[in-house]
Amino acid sequence: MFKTADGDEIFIIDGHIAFWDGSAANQRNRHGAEFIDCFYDYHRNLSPEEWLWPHDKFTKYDEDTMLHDLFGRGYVDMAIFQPVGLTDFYKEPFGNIEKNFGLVEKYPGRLIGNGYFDPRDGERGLDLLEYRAKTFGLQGVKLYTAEWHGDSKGYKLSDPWAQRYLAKCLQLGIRNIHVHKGPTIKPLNRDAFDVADVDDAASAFPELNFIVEHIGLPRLDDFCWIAVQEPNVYAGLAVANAFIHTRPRYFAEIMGELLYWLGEDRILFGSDYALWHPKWLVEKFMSFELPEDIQKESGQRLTLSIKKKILGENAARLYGIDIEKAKRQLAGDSIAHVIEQAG
Amino acid sequence: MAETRYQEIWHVLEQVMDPELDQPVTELGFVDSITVNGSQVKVVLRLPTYWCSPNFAFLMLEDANQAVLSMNWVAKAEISLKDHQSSDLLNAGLTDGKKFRDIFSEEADGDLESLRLHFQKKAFMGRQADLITIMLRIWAVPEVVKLSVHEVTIALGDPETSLVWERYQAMRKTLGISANPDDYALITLEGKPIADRDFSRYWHQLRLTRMNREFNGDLCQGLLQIRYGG
Repeated sequence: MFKTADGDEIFIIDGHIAFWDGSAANQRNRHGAEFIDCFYDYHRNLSPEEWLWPHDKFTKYDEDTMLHDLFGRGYVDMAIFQPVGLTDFYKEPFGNIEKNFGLVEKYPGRLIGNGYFDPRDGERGLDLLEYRAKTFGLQGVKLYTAEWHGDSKGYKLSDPWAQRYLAKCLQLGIRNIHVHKGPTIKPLNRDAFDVADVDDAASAFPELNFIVEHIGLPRLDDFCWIAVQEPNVYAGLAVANAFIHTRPRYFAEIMGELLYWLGEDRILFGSDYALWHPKWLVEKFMSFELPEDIQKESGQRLTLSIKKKILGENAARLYGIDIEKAKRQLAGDSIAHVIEQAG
Repeated sequence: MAETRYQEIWHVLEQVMDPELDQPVTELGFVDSITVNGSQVKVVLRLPTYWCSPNFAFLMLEDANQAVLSMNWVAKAEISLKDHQSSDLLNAGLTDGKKFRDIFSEEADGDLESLRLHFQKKAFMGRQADLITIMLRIWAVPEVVKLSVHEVTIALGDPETSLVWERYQAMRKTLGISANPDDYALITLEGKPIADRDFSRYWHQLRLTRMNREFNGDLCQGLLQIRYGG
């Protein structure tokens, strides 16, 4: 919970967190090392100096660290795991659905554990998805279309097998499809960051919500076009909101455009923890205002009520969370004590 | 002499663009080293991450190769990329004069030319956004869409503004869009003038493309600096 100077309470749902294991012991090959190191470069590139972690801690952190960072110092009330397996790079999954679920059960109401699937697993993967949906009560999945799989360097949501998996999601009550758009997608001669496949999938499955994580960067322009046409496409701010520190003007321009093209109801906050710490992200976001020229150019303002939506209300709607009820439930839980201790 | 030849190579590499960022590889810090040994030239390129798209990397390698070979005195050019997930494949492919689709036969269908064209179109829009920003200092909105190539060439005569204008015109010609003196200065990718009532939306779209370019450029610069210092 973030409290404004006027006493307004802002309920915060962090839409994108991870509890990863990128440690050397868990790396299967050089790609595993390069993957976590690339994350670390992002961390170093965009974090304020006082929030920089040593490399070792960054590759693998423990439960207490995460709980304190999110719910203790980070103002976060609820958080959503967006795991990615990357089992071609790591021995145990980089993001681990079962391990996350253990925490979801241990701290009721605090965490939502999303799953993932890989359409290249065929029939067997459909069964696995069903098993996971039922065992872990999945409401959402994180898809990493650039994930390697044997000889394949990625897939598209428009592939026939991906469509079958999305149909299965619908049938299993998995409504929220978080799509990461990242490098190295097959076929390589096309634009690796192309977001067009989200357009196809969103049209084919109007009942599903497609949250494009990292707002389709580095294809923000294409993403905004798709989102204008597809009402079930959302913007996940993870990564983008880290620019608020080093490049506040870029951040302002991005917010101005997102508000112009998508509107205030389709933008979701995400720290991408442990890439960035929610404390500084939330504080900077709450005190942020669009510069006057950008307000004028975009015709948009970032008001308190819009900030509330981005920080929690929009995600609450997608995940069926009643914020007032959640506040009462969480007020006395074991994590609330952590928050008190943190002051 | 080596020093002059080094400079000559640097100079031709200034024409090699990152297709996505629409900026020369020299400005972006992607040139890791240039070694001139008589008539033999080695150029090593580097990129911000291990994961940067191999297709863009290959376009830059090919363009650098052509640029270096365009110098009369160069007998042998050896262009390579370091620290990349596909370094070995790309470098070997380039040495053997292969096309991209032959290097990645399993994963690529067709060639990179449509990708190049796609990003030339984006570059055109980004450059037009830069141009409109300058034009709006001089003219108001209804007027700005009606100006001719000739009128704008005269008005944007000073070095800073003429550079923006020339960059825009150059990409316009690359894309085969007519650029005669009495053509409209502002023209869509389809070669059509922009109607008054469409300008606001169109201008928003251009700014988004430009913002995307600048954002990517900044991110790439930041990651390159973290990776290699500087």
